[in-house]
Amino acid sequence: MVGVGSPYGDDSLGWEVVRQLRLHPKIKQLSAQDVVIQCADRPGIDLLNIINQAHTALIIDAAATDFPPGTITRLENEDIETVLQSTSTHDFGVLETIALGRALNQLPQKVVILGITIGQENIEQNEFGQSKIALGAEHMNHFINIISEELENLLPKELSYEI
Amino acid sequence: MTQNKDIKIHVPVLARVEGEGALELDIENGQVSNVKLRIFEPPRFFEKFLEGRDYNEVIDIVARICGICPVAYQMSAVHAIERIFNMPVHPTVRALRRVMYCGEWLESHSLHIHLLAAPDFLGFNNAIELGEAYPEEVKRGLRLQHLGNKLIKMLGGRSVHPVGVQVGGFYRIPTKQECDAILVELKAAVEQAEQLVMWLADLSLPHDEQDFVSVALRHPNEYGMNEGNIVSSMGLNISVEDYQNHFQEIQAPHSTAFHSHLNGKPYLVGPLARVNLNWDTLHEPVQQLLQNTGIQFPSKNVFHSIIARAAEIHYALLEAIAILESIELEVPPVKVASKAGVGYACTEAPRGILWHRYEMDAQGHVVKATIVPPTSQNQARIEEDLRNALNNFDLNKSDDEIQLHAETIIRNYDPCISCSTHFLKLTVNRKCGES
Repeated sequence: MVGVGSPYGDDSLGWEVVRQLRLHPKIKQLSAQDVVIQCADRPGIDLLNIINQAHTALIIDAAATDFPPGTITRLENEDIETVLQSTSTHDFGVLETIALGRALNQLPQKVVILGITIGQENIEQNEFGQSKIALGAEHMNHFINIISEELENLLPKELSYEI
Repeated sequence: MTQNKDIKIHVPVLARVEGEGALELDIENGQVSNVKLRIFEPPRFFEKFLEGRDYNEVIDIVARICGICPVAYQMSAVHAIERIFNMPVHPTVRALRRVMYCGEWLESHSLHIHLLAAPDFLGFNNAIELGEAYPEEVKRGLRLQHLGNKLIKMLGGRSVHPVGVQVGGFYRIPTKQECDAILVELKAAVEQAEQLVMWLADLSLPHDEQDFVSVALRHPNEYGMNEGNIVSSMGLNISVEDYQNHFQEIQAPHSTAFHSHLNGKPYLVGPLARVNLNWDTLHEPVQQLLQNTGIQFPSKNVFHSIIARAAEIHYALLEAIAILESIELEVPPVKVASKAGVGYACTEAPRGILWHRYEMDAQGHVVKATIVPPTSQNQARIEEDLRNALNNFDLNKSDDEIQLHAETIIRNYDPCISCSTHFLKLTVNRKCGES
Protein backbone atom coordinates (compact mmCIF):
# COMPACT_ATOMS: atom_id res chain seq x y z
CA MET A 1 0.00 0.00 0.00
CA VAL A 2 1.55 3.26 -1.10
CA GLY A 3 0.44 6.73 -0.17
CA VAL A 4 1.64 9.01 -2.92
CA GLY A 5 2.13 12.71 -2.24
CA SER A 6 4.37 15.31 -0.69
CA PRO A 7 4.84 16.75 2.79
CA TYR A 8 2.61 19.81 2.58
CA GLY A 9 -0.82 20.95 1.44
CA ASP A 10 -3.52 18.95 -0.27
CA ASP A 11 -0.98 16.70 -1.91
CA SER A 12 -0.13 15.28 1.51
CA LEU A 13 -3.57 13.67 1.73
CA GLY A 14 -2.34 10.29 0.43
CA TRP A 15 0.37 10.29 3.11
CA GLU A 16 -2.00 11.31 5.87
CA VAL A 17 -4.47 8.58 5.05
CA VAL A 18 -1.73 5.96 4.99
CA ARG A 19 -0.30 7.21 8.28
CA GLN A 20 -3.67 6.85 9.95
CA LEU A 21 -4.25 3.46 8.37
CA ARG A 22 -1.00 2.28 9.92
CA LEU A 23 -2.50 3.00 13.32
CA HIS A 24 -5.68 1.03 12.57
CA PRO A 25 -5.74 -1.82 15.12
CA LYS A 26 -6.57 -4.48 12.55
CA ILE A 27 -3.95 -3.34 10.11
CA LYS A 28 -1.34 -3.23 12.86
CA GLN A 29 -1.88 -6.98 13.27
CA LEU A 30 -0.76 -7.68 9.71
CA SER A 31 2.75 -8.88 9.17
CA ALA A 32 5.08 -6.35 7.61
CA GLN A 33 6.22 -9.10 5.28
CA ASP A 34 2.71 -9.63 3.96
CA VAL A 35 1.67 -6.02 3.65
CA VAL A 36 4.21 -3.27 3.09
CA ILE A 37 2.79 0.14 3.83
CA GLN A 38 4.74 3.22 2.83
CA CYS A 39 4.58 6.83 1.77
CA ALA A 40 6.24 7.86 -1.48
CA ASP A 41 7.43 11.43 -1.98
CA ARG A 42 6.44 12.46 -5.55
CA PRO A 43 7.98 9.28 -6.90
CA GLY A 44 7.28 9.81 -10.61
CA ILE A 45 8.36 6.74 -12.51
CA ASP A 46 10.18 5.49 -9.41
CA LEU A 47 6.74 4.27 -8.32
CA LEU A 48 7.42 1.27 -10.57
CA ASN A 49 10.45 0.37 -8.47
CA ILE A 50 8.33 0.57 -5.33
CA ILE A 51 5.53 -1.70 -6.51
CA ASN A 52 7.05 -4.06 -9.05
CA GLN A 53 7.91 -6.80 -6.53
CA ALA A 54 4.39 -6.85 -5.10
CA HIS A 55 1.56 -9.22 -5.96
CA THR A 56 -0.98 -6.45 -5.48
CA ALA A 57 -0.49 -2.71 -5.26
CA LEU A 58 -2.96 -0.39 -3.58
CA ILE A 59 -2.08 3.22 -4.37
CA ILE A 60 -3.69 6.11 -2.54
CA ASP A 61 -3.26 9.59 -3.95
CA ALA A 62 -4.89 13.00 -3.89
CA ALA A 63 -6.76 13.53 -7.16
CA ALA A 64 -7.99 16.48 -9.17
CA THR A 65 -11.39 15.54 -10.59
CA ASP A 66 -14.71 17.18 -11.35
CA PHE A 67 -16.30 15.41 -8.37
CA PRO A 68 -16.88 17.08 -5.01
CA PRO A 69 -13.88 17.13 -2.65
CA GLY A 70 -13.69 13.93 -0.66
CA THR A 71 -15.00 11.71 -3.47
CA ILE A 72 -13.00 8.51 -3.87
CA THR A 73 -12.42 7.30 -7.40
CA ARG A 74 -11.44 3.64 -7.69
CA LEU A 75 -9.50 2.39 -10.69
CA GLU A 76 -8.32 -1.17 -11.13
CA ASN A 77 -5.99 -2.70 -13.70
CA GLU A 78 -7.40 -2.08 -17.17
CA ASP A 79 -9.64 0.71 -15.83
CA ILE A 80 -6.44 2.72 -15.58
CA GLU A 81 -6.53 4.24 -19.01
CA THR A 82 -4.21 7.12 -19.52
CA VAL A 83 -4.73 9.93 -21.91
CA LEU A 84 -1.27 11.39 -22.04
CA GLN A 85 -2.26 14.89 -21.13
CA SER A 86 1.06 15.59 -19.55
CA THR A 87 4.23 14.01 -20.68
CA SER A 88 6.92 16.07 -19.10
CA THR A 89 9.16 14.18 -16.70
CA HIS A 90 8.32 16.83 -14.10
CA ASP A 91 4.76 15.62 -13.93
CA PHE A 92 4.94 12.01 -14.95
CA GLY A 93 2.17 11.09 -12.56
CA VAL A 94 0.69 7.91 -11.20
CA LEU A 95 -1.49 7.16 -14.23
CA GLU A 96 1.33 7.71 -16.72
CA THR A 97 3.63 5.57 -14.61
CA ILE A 98 1.11 2.73 -14.46
CA ALA A 99 0.67 2.95 -18.24
CA LEU A 100 4.44 2.78 -18.69
CA GLY A 101 4.66 -0.15 -16.27
CA ARG A 102 2.02 -1.98 -18.29
CA ALA A 103 3.95 -1.36 -21.50
CA LEU A 104 7.07 -2.74 -19.83
CA ASN A 105 5.22 -5.68 -18.28
CA GLN A 106 6.45 -4.58 -14.88
CA LEU A 107 3.19 -4.27 -12.97
CA PRO A 108 1.91 -6.34 -10.06
CA GLN A 109 -0.89 -8.75 -10.95
CA LYS A 110 -3.39 -6.33 -9.53
CA VAL A 111 -3.11 -2.55 -9.27
CA VAL A 112 -5.83 -0.55 -7.54
CA ILE A 113 -5.71 3.23 -7.37
CA LEU A 114 -7.88 5.12 -4.91
CA GLY A 115 -7.90 8.79 -5.87
CA ILE A 116 -9.33 11.15 -3.28
CA THR A 117 -10.62 14.36 -4.85
CA ILE A 118 -9.08 17.46 -3.29
CA GLY A 119 -10.94 20.08 -5.31
CA GLN A 120 -9.98 21.29 -8.76
CA GLU A 121 -10.71 24.92 -7.92
CA ASN A 122 -8.04 24.92 -5.22
CA ILE A 123 -5.45 23.57 -7.61
CA GLU A 124 -6.26 26.18 -10.23
CA GLN A 125 -6.01 28.96 -7.69
CA ASN A 126 -2.91 27.46 -6.13
CA GLU A 127 -4.70 27.38 -2.81
CA PHE A 128 -3.24 24.10 -1.79
CA GLY A 129 -4.18 22.93 1.64
CA GLN A 130 -7.61 24.52 1.66
CA SER A 131 -9.75 21.56 0.71
CA LYS A 132 -7.87 19.11 2.87
CA ILE A 133 -8.56 21.24 5.90
CA ALA A 134 -12.17 21.55 4.85
CA LEU A 135 -12.50 17.78 4.56
CA GLY A 136 -12.08 17.29 8.31
CA ALA A 137 -12.07 14.28 10.59
CA GLU A 138 -15.39 12.90 9.42
CA HIS A 139 -14.07 12.51 5.89
CA MET A 140 -10.86 10.99 7.16
CA ASN A 141 -12.74 8.30 9.07
CA HIS A 142 -14.73 7.58 5.92
CA PHE A 143 -11.51 7.19 3.90
CA ILE A 144 -10.03 4.88 6.51
CA ASN A 145 -13.12 2.68 6.46
CA ILE A 146 -13.28 2.49 2.67
CA ILE A 147 -9.58 1.76 2.30
CA SER A 148 -9.61 -0.81 5.10
CA GLU A 149 -12.41 -2.63 3.31
CA GLU A 150 -10.48 -2.41 0.08
CA LEU A 151 -7.42 -3.88 1.72
CA GLU A 152 -9.47 -6.68 3.25
CA ASN A 153 -10.88 -7.58 -0.15
CA LEU A 154 -7.43 -7.55 -1.76
CA LEU A 155 -5.81 -9.77 0.84
CA PRO A 156 -5.70 -13.51 0.34
CA LYS A 157 -8.10 -15.39 2.62
CA GLU A 158 -5.44 -16.58 5.03
CA LEU A 159 -4.49 -12.99 5.77
CA SER A 160 -8.00 -11.57 5.92
CA TYR A 161 -9.20 -9.66 8.91
CA GLU A 162 -12.44 -8.19 10.06
CA ILE A 163 -12.97 -4.49 10.02
CA MET B 1 -1.85 41.61 -54.96
CA THR B 2 -0.48 39.64 -52.10
CA GLN B 3 -2.40 36.74 -50.81
CA ASN B 4 -1.92 36.07 -47.12
CA LYS B 5 -2.91 32.67 -45.96
CA ASP B 6 -2.71 32.06 -42.23
CA ILE B 7 -2.68 28.56 -40.96
CA LYS B 8 -3.03 28.00 -37.24
CA ILE B 9 -2.21 24.74 -35.62
CA HIS B 10 -2.97 24.25 -31.98
CA VAL B 11 -1.35 21.42 -30.14
CA PRO B 12 -3.26 20.98 -26.92
CA VAL B 13 -0.74 18.57 -25.45
CA LEU B 14 2.87 19.02 -25.80
CA ALA B 15 4.78 16.62 -25.94
CA ARG B 16 7.77 16.16 -23.86
CA VAL B 17 9.02 19.60 -23.03
CA GLU B 18 9.44 20.73 -19.45
CA GLY B 19 7.13 23.64 -18.89
CA GLU B 20 4.77 26.00 -20.56
CA GLY B 21 5.64 27.33 -23.94
CA ALA B 22 4.41 27.87 -27.44
CA LEU B 23 6.07 28.12 -30.78
CA GLU B 24 5.14 30.63 -33.42
CA LEU B 25 6.52 30.31 -36.93
CA ASP B 26 6.04 32.74 -39.79
CA ILE B 27 6.81 31.23 -43.17
CA GLU B 28 7.02 33.68 -46.02
CA ASN B 29 7.77 32.67 -49.58
CA GLY B 30 9.22 29.37 -48.47
CA GLN B 31 11.51 30.92 -45.87
CA VAL B 32 11.13 31.15 -42.12
CA SER B 33 10.76 34.87 -41.50
CA ASN B 34 9.98 34.78 -37.81
CA VAL B 35 10.52 32.27 -35.04
CA LYS B 36 9.37 32.84 -31.52
CA LEU B 37 9.66 30.29 -28.79
CA ARG B 38 7.04 31.89 -26.59
CA ILE B 39 7.58 31.30 -22.92
CA PHE B 40 4.62 32.37 -20.85
CA GLU B 41 5.62 30.66 -17.69
CA PRO B 42 4.67 33.05 -14.89
CA PRO B 43 7.57 34.70 -13.09
CA ARG B 44 8.42 32.72 -9.99
CA PHE B 45 10.18 35.46 -7.99
CA PHE B 46 12.71 33.11 -6.42
CA GLU B 47 15.47 35.72 -6.51
CA LYS B 48 13.24 38.22 -4.74
CA PHE B 49 12.02 35.99 -1.99
CA LEU B 50 15.52 34.78 -1.21
CA GLU B 51 16.19 38.30 0.06
CA GLY B 52 16.45 38.39 3.84
CA ARG B 53 16.85 34.61 4.11
CA ASP B 54 19.53 32.93 6.18
CA TYR B 55 22.40 31.26 4.29
CA ASN B 56 21.33 27.69 5.02
CA GLU B 57 17.71 28.44 4.11
CA VAL B 58 18.93 29.54 0.68
CA ILE B 59 20.19 26.06 -0.11
CA ASP B 60 16.86 24.39 0.58
CA ILE B 61 14.82 27.13 -1.09
CA VAL B 62 16.73 27.06 -4.38
CA ALA B 63 16.32 23.27 -4.48
CA ARG B 64 12.60 23.98 -4.97
CA ILE B 65 13.24 25.70 -8.29
CA CYS B 66 13.39 22.35 -10.05
CA GLY B 67 12.29 18.84 -9.16
CA ILE B 68 14.63 17.30 -11.72
CA CYS B 69 17.83 19.25 -11.07
CA PRO B 70 17.65 20.48 -7.45
CA VAL B 71 21.24 19.41 -6.76
CA ALA B 72 22.53 21.86 -9.36
CA TYR B 73 20.77 24.76 -7.65
CA GLN B 74 22.05 23.64 -4.26
CA MET B 75 25.61 23.30 -5.52
CA SER B 76 25.78 26.71 -7.19
CA ALA B 77 24.26 28.32 -4.08
CA VAL B 78 26.43 26.61 -1.48
CA HIS B 79 29.64 27.34 -3.38
CA ALA B 80 28.77 31.01 -3.82
CA ILE B 81 27.95 31.37 -0.12
CA GLU B 82 31.12 29.58 0.98
CA ARG B 83 33.14 31.95 -1.17
CA ILE B 84 31.54 34.93 0.58
CA PHE B 85 32.40 33.41 3.96
CA ASN B 86 35.88 32.54 2.68
CA MET B 87 35.45 28.94 3.85
CA PRO B 88 37.72 26.16 2.70
CA VAL B 89 35.88 23.03 1.59
CA HIS B 90 37.10 19.74 3.05
CA PRO B 91 38.31 17.34 0.33
CA THR B 92 35.77 14.70 1.38
CA VAL B 93 32.92 17.21 1.12
CA ARG B 94 34.16 18.32 -2.27
CA ALA B 95 34.29 14.72 -3.47
CA LEU B 96 30.88 13.81 -2.08
CA ARG B 97 29.31 16.86 -3.69
CA ARG B 98 30.67 15.60 -6.98
CA VAL B 99 29.13 12.17 -6.31
CA MET B 100 25.80 13.82 -5.57
CA TYR B 101 26.01 15.77 -8.82
CA CYS B 102 26.80 12.51 -10.66
CA GLY B 103 23.53 11.19 -9.24
CA GLU B 104 21.66 14.13 -10.69
CA TRP B 105 23.22 13.73 -14.13
CA LEU B 106 22.35 10.03 -14.07
CA GLU B 107 18.76 10.69 -13.07
CA SER B 108 18.06 13.71 -15.27
CA HIS B 109 19.83 12.44 -18.38
CA SER B 110 18.18 9.00 -18.15
CA LEU B 111 14.76 10.61 -17.91
CA HIS B 112 15.34 12.91 -20.84
CA ILE B 113 16.76 10.26 -23.12
CA HIS B 114 14.07 7.66 -22.51
CA LEU B 115 10.93 9.62 -21.75
CA LEU B 116 11.42 12.76 -23.81
CA ALA B 117 13.92 12.49 -26.66
CA ALA B 118 14.27 8.90 -27.83
CA PRO B 119 10.60 8.59 -28.93
CA ASP B 120 11.30 11.33 -31.52
CA PHE B 121 14.17 9.48 -33.09
CA LEU B 122 12.41 6.12 -33.17
CA GLY B 123 9.06 7.36 -34.46
CA PHE B 124 6.91 7.09 -31.35
CA ASN B 125 4.54 9.59 -29.81
CA ASN B 126 5.61 9.01 -26.24
CA ALA B 127 7.61 6.89 -23.82
CA ILE B 128 4.80 4.40 -23.34
CA GLU B 129 4.74 3.54 -27.03
CA LEU B 130 8.53 3.37 -26.92
CA GLY B 131 8.31 1.05 -23.92
CA GLU B 132 6.02 -1.33 -25.78
CA ALA B 133 8.47 -1.61 -28.66
CA TYR B 134 11.73 -1.39 -26.70
CA PRO B 135 10.92 -2.67 -23.20
CA GLU B 136 14.42 -3.78 -22.29
CA GLU B 137 15.98 -0.49 -23.36
CA VAL B 138 13.43 1.55 -21.41
CA LYS B 139 13.81 -0.69 -18.34
CA ARG B 140 17.55 -0.16 -18.56
CA GLY B 141 16.97 3.60 -18.66
CA LEU B 142 14.71 3.46 -15.63
CA ARG B 143 17.30 1.44 -13.71
CA LEU B 144 19.94 4.07 -14.45
CA GLN B 145 17.54 6.83 -13.42
CA HIS B 146 16.71 5.00 -10.20
CA LEU B 147 20.40 4.57 -9.40
CA GLY B 148 20.88 8.32 -9.82
CA ASN B 149 18.02 8.92 -7.41
CA LYS B 150 19.64 6.58 -4.89
CA LEU B 151 22.92 8.50 -5.02
CA ILE B 152 21.07 11.77 -4.43
CA LYS B 153 19.11 10.23 -1.57
CA MET B 154 22.25 8.83 0.06
CA LEU B 155 23.66 12.36 0.35
CA GLY B 156 20.55 14.50 0.29
CA GLY B 157 18.18 12.49 2.48
CA ARG B 158 15.66 12.24 -0.33
CA SER B 159 15.84 12.32 -4.10
CA VAL B 160 13.24 15.02 -4.75
CA HIS B 161 14.24 18.40 -3.35
CA PRO B 162 17.05 16.92 -1.22
CA VAL B 163 17.83 18.51 2.15
CA GLY B 164 21.27 17.13 3.01
CA VAL B 165 23.51 19.98 1.83
CA GLN B 166 24.61 22.73 4.21
CA VAL B 167 27.18 25.49 4.10
CA GLY B 168 30.46 23.78 4.89
CA GLY B 169 29.38 20.25 4.06
CA PHE B 170 26.52 17.84 4.60
CA TYR B 171 24.16 17.42 7.52
CA ARG B 172 25.04 13.74 7.44
CA ILE B 173 27.98 11.91 5.85
CA PRO B 174 27.04 8.46 4.53
CA THR B 175 28.52 5.39 6.21
CA LYS B 176 31.11 3.15 4.59
CA GLN B 177 28.48 0.41 4.40
CA GLU B 178 26.16 2.69 2.44
CA CYS B 179 28.95 3.67 0.07
CA ASP B 180 30.02 0.06 -0.43
CA ALA B 181 26.45 -1.04 -1.12
CA ILE B 182 25.88 1.59 -3.78
CA LEU B 183 29.32 0.93 -5.29
CA VAL B 184 28.17 -2.59 -6.15
CA GLU B 185 25.19 -1.16 -8.01
CA LEU B 186 27.26 1.51 -9.75
CA LYS B 187 29.74 -1.05 -11.03
CA ALA B 188 26.96 -3.29 -12.28
CA ALA B 189 25.46 -0.35 -14.19
CA VAL B 190 28.58 0.53 -16.20
CA GLU B 191 27.87 -2.09 -18.83
CA GLN B 192 24.29 -0.82 -19.12
CA ALA B 193 25.59 2.69 -19.76
CA GLU B 194 27.94 1.38 -22.44
CA GLN B 195 25.04 -0.41 -24.11
CA LEU B 196 22.98 2.75 -23.92
CA VAL B 197 25.62 4.81 -25.73
CA MET B 198 25.92 2.26 -28.52
CA TRP B 199 22.13 1.87 -28.82
CA LEU B 200 21.71 5.62 -29.28
CA ALA B 201 24.63 5.79 -31.71
CA ASP B 202 22.72 3.42 -33.96
CA LEU B 203 19.74 5.78 -34.16
CA SER B 204 19.23 7.57 -37.40
CA LEU B 205 19.65 11.09 -36.05
CA PRO B 206 19.02 14.08 -38.33
CA HIS B 207 22.19 15.35 -39.94
CA ASP B 208 22.14 19.08 -39.41
CA GLU B 209 25.49 20.75 -38.89
CA GLN B 210 25.27 24.33 -37.70
CA ASP B 211 27.73 26.97 -36.67
CA PHE B 212 27.20 27.59 -32.98
CA VAL B 213 29.28 28.56 -29.97
CA SER B 214 29.62 26.03 -27.14
CA VAL B 215 29.94 27.31 -23.57
CA ALA B 216 30.81 25.17 -20.54
CA LEU B 217 32.69 25.05 -17.30
CA ARG B 218 36.24 23.79 -17.65
CA HIS B 219 38.54 22.46 -14.96
CA PRO B 220 42.12 21.50 -15.75
CA ASN B 221 42.06 18.21 -13.85
CA GLU B 222 38.52 16.91 -14.08
CA TYR B 223 35.44 17.03 -16.28
CA GLY B 224 33.71 20.35 -15.62
CA MET B 225 30.98 19.98 -13.03
CA ASN B 226 31.30 21.90 -9.75
CA GLU B 227 34.30 24.15 -10.34
CA GLY B 228 36.27 25.78 -13.08
CA ASN B 229 36.40 28.65 -15.51
CA ILE B 230 33.72 29.44 -18.05
CA VAL B 231 35.11 28.73 -21.51
CA SER B 232 33.74 28.86 -25.03
CA SER B 233 34.60 27.31 -28.37
CA MET B 234 35.55 30.85 -29.49
CA GLY B 235 38.40 31.06 -27.01
CA LEU B 236 36.65 32.71 -24.05
CA ASN B 237 38.23 31.72 -20.74
CA ILE B 238 36.96 33.69 -17.77
CA SER B 239 36.41 33.24 -14.06
CA VAL B 240 32.80 32.82 -12.95
CA GLU B 241 33.01 36.25 -11.30
CA ASP B 242 33.52 37.77 -14.72
CA TYR B 243 30.34 36.23 -16.22
CA GLN B 244 28.28 39.40 -16.38
CA ASN B 245 30.99 41.27 -18.24
CA HIS B 246 30.63 38.90 -21.18
CA PHE B 247 27.12 37.45 -21.03
CA GLN B 248 24.04 39.59 -21.32
CA GLU B 249 20.52 38.75 -20.17
CA ILE B 250 18.00 40.33 -22.51
CA GLN B 251 14.26 40.72 -22.17
CA ALA B 252 12.36 39.30 -25.12
CA PRO B 253 8.77 40.57 -25.42
CA HIS B 254 7.44 37.10 -26.20
CA SER B 255 9.10 35.42 -23.23
CA THR B 256 8.86 35.73 -19.47
CA ALA B 257 12.29 34.11 -19.28
CA PHE B 258 15.35 36.16 -20.20
CA HIS B 259 17.31 35.36 -23.32
CA SER B 260 21.07 35.17 -22.92
CA HIS B 261 23.76 36.29 -25.33
CA LEU B 262 27.53 35.97 -25.31
CA ASN B 263 28.97 39.09 -26.87
CA GLY B 264 25.63 39.73 -28.52
CA LYS B 265 25.09 36.25 -29.94
CA PRO B 266 23.28 33.04 -28.93
CA TYR B 267 25.29 30.13 -27.55
CA LEU B 268 24.83 26.51 -26.53
CA VAL B 269 25.14 25.09 -23.02
CA GLY B 270 24.55 21.51 -21.92
CA PRO B 271 25.95 18.03 -22.56
CA LEU B 272 27.06 18.58 -26.15
CA ALA B 273 28.79 21.85 -25.27
CA ARG B 274 30.53 20.10 -22.37
CA VAL B 275 31.72 17.14 -24.43
CA ASN B 276 32.81 19.51 -27.20
CA LEU B 277 34.91 21.58 -24.81
CA ASN B 278 36.02 19.01 -22.24
CA TRP B 279 36.66 15.87 -24.27
CA ASP B 280 40.20 15.58 -22.92
CA THR B 281 39.01 15.37 -19.31
CA LEU B 282 36.49 12.56 -19.90
CA HIS B 283 37.57 9.21 -18.50
CA GLU B 284 39.45 7.18 -21.08
CA PRO B 285 36.76 4.44 -21.38
CA VAL B 286 34.20 7.17 -22.17
CA GLN B 287 36.43 8.61 -24.88
CA GLN B 288 37.02 5.13 -26.27
CA LEU B 289 33.33 4.32 -26.37
CA LEU B 290 32.52 7.61 -28.11
CA GLN B 291 35.22 6.88 -30.67
CA ASN B 292 33.60 3.50 -31.25
CA THR B 293 30.36 5.27 -32.20
CA GLY B 294 32.14 6.83 -35.18
CA ILE B 295 30.89 10.29 -34.20
CA GLN B 296 33.55 12.99 -34.13
CA PHE B 297 33.65 15.40 -31.23
CA PRO B 298 33.62 18.36 -31.15
CA SER B 299 30.39 18.03 -33.10
CA LYS B 300 28.42 20.74 -34.88
CA ASN B 301 25.30 18.59 -35.07
CA VAL B 302 23.15 19.52 -32.09
CA PHE B 303 21.27 16.24 -32.47
CA HIS B 304 24.41 14.60 -31.11
CA SER B 305 23.30 16.00 -27.75
CA ILE B 306 21.56 12.71 -26.98
CA ILE B 307 24.85 10.84 -27.50
CA ALA B 308 26.70 13.35 -25.32
CA ARG B 309 24.01 12.95 -22.66
CA ALA B 310 24.46 9.16 -22.67
CA ALA B 311 28.24 9.54 -22.57
CA GLU B 312 27.83 11.68 -19.45
CA ILE B 313 25.78 8.89 -17.87
CA HIS B 314 28.73 6.61 -18.53
CA TYR B 315 31.11 9.25 -17.15
CA ALA B 316 28.99 9.88 -14.04
CA LEU B 317 29.04 6.18 -13.16
CA LEU B 318 32.82 5.90 -13.57
CA GLU B 319 33.41 9.13 -11.67
CA ALA B 320 31.18 8.14 -8.75
CA ILE B 321 32.88 4.74 -8.60
CA ALA B 322 36.36 6.28 -8.64
CA ILE B 323 35.48 8.68 -5.84
CA LEU B 324 33.63 6.22 -3.61
CA GLU B 325 36.32 3.56 -3.94
CA SER B 326 38.96 5.81 -2.44
CA ILE B 327 37.08 8.22 -0.23
CA GLU B 328 37.91 8.82 3.45
CA LEU B 329 34.62 9.49 5.16
CA GLU B 330 35.98 11.36 8.18
CA VAL B 331 34.97 15.02 8.07
CA PRO B 332 35.69 17.35 11.00
CA PRO B 333 32.79 19.52 12.18
CA VAL B 334 32.57 22.81 10.39
CA LYS B 335 32.08 26.12 12.11
CA VAL B 336 30.43 28.71 9.93
CA ALA B 337 31.37 32.35 10.43
CA SER B 338 29.15 34.51 8.27
CA LYS B 339 30.45 37.71 6.79
CA ALA B 340 29.22 40.34 4.40
CA GLY B 341 30.21 40.22 0.77
CA VAL B 342 29.42 39.16 -2.74
CA GLY B 343 29.96 35.61 -3.98
CA TYR B 344 29.64 33.90 -7.33
CA ALA B 345 29.45 30.28 -8.39
CA CYS B 346 28.74 28.39 -11.55
CA THR B 347 28.17 24.67 -11.84
CA GLU B 348 27.11 22.34 -14.61
CA ALA B 349 23.43 21.48 -14.22
CA PRO B 350 22.32 18.59 -16.44
CA ARG B 351 21.12 21.16 -18.98
CA GLY B 352 24.16 23.43 -18.81
CA ILE B 353 25.86 26.10 -16.75
CA LEU B 354 23.88 27.47 -13.81
CA TRP B 355 25.27 30.78 -12.58
CA HIS B 356 24.49 32.28 -9.16
CA ARG B 357 25.46 35.56 -7.53
CA TYR B 358 24.65 36.43 -3.92
CA GLU B 359 25.19 39.56 -1.93
CA MET B 360 24.97 38.88 1.82
CA ASP B 361 25.09 40.99 4.97
CA ALA B 362 27.28 40.32 8.02
CA GLN B 363 24.59 38.10 9.58
CA GLY B 364 24.61 35.83 6.55
CA HIS B 365 21.28 37.03 5.18
CA VAL B 366 20.73 37.52 1.47
CA VAL B 367 20.66 41.13 0.32
CA LYS B 368 20.38 40.34 -3.38
CA ALA B 369 20.36 37.15 -5.45
CA THR B 370 20.77 36.57 -9.17
CA ILE B 371 20.23 33.15 -10.74
CA VAL B 372 20.82 32.43 -14.43
CA PRO B 373 19.54 28.95 -15.31
CA PRO B 374 20.69 27.00 -18.37
CA THR B 375 17.37 26.92 -20.18
CA SER B 376 17.19 30.70 -20.44
CA GLN B 377 20.73 30.63 -21.81
CA ASN B 378 19.74 28.13 -24.47
CA GLN B 379 16.53 29.88 -25.50
CA ALA B 380 18.07 32.20 -28.08
CA ARG B 381 20.11 29.28 -29.45
CA ILE B 382 16.93 27.20 -29.81
CA GLU B 383 15.32 29.96 -31.86
CA GLU B 384 18.46 30.28 -33.99
CA ASP B 385 18.52 26.51 -34.48
CA LEU B 386 14.84 26.46 -35.48
CA ARG B 387 15.39 29.19 -38.04
CA ASN B 388 18.40 27.44 -39.57
CA ALA B 389 16.99 23.94 -39.43
CA LEU B 390 13.57 24.78 -40.81
CA ASN B 391 15.05 26.74 -43.68
CA ASN B 392 16.85 23.52 -44.58
CA PHE B 393 13.65 21.55 -44.13
CA ASP B 394 11.09 21.06 -46.89
CA LEU B 395 8.55 23.67 -45.86
CA ASN B 396 6.07 22.35 -48.42
CA LYS B 397 5.54 19.45 -46.07
CA SER B 398 2.40 19.36 -44.00
CA ASP B 399 2.03 21.49 -40.92
CA ASP B 400 2.07 18.28 -38.87
CA GLU B 401 5.47 17.32 -40.26
CA ILE B 402 6.87 20.82 -39.76
CA GLN B 403 5.52 20.84 -36.25
CA LEU B 404 7.04 17.48 -35.41
CA HIS B 405 10.41 18.54 -36.73
CA ALA B 406 10.28 21.81 -34.78
CA GLU B 407 9.28 20.03 -31.61
CA THR B 408 12.06 17.51 -32.06
CA ILE B 409 14.56 20.37 -32.33
CA ILE B 410 13.24 22.00 -29.16
CA ARG B 411 13.11 18.75 -27.19
CA ASN B 412 16.67 17.95 -28.19
CA TYR B 413 17.79 20.81 -25.91
CA ASP B 414 15.95 19.29 -22.93
CA PRO B 415 14.47 22.69 -22.09
CA CYS B 416 13.17 23.01 -18.56
CA ILE B 417 10.89 25.97 -19.11
CA SER B 418 9.17 25.62 -15.80
CA CYS B 419 8.26 22.82 -13.50
CA SER B 420 4.56 23.34 -13.52
CA THR B 421 2.95 23.34 -16.93
CA HIS B 422 2.57 21.12 -19.86
CA PHE B 423 1.89 22.24 -23.36
CA LEU B 424 3.14 23.81 -26.52
CA LYS B 425 0.84 25.61 -28.89
CA LEU B 426 2.19 25.99 -32.38
CA THR B 427 1.00 28.68 -34.73
CA VAL B 428 2.27 28.60 -38.30
CA ASN B 429 1.54 31.71 -40.35
CA ARG B 430 2.22 31.08 -44.01
CA LYS B 431 2.34 34.02 -46.35
CA CYS B 432 1.99 32.52 -49.80
CA GLY B 433 3.66 34.05 -52.83
CA GLU B 434 2.66 37.02 -54.89
CA SER B 435 0.28 36.88 -57.82
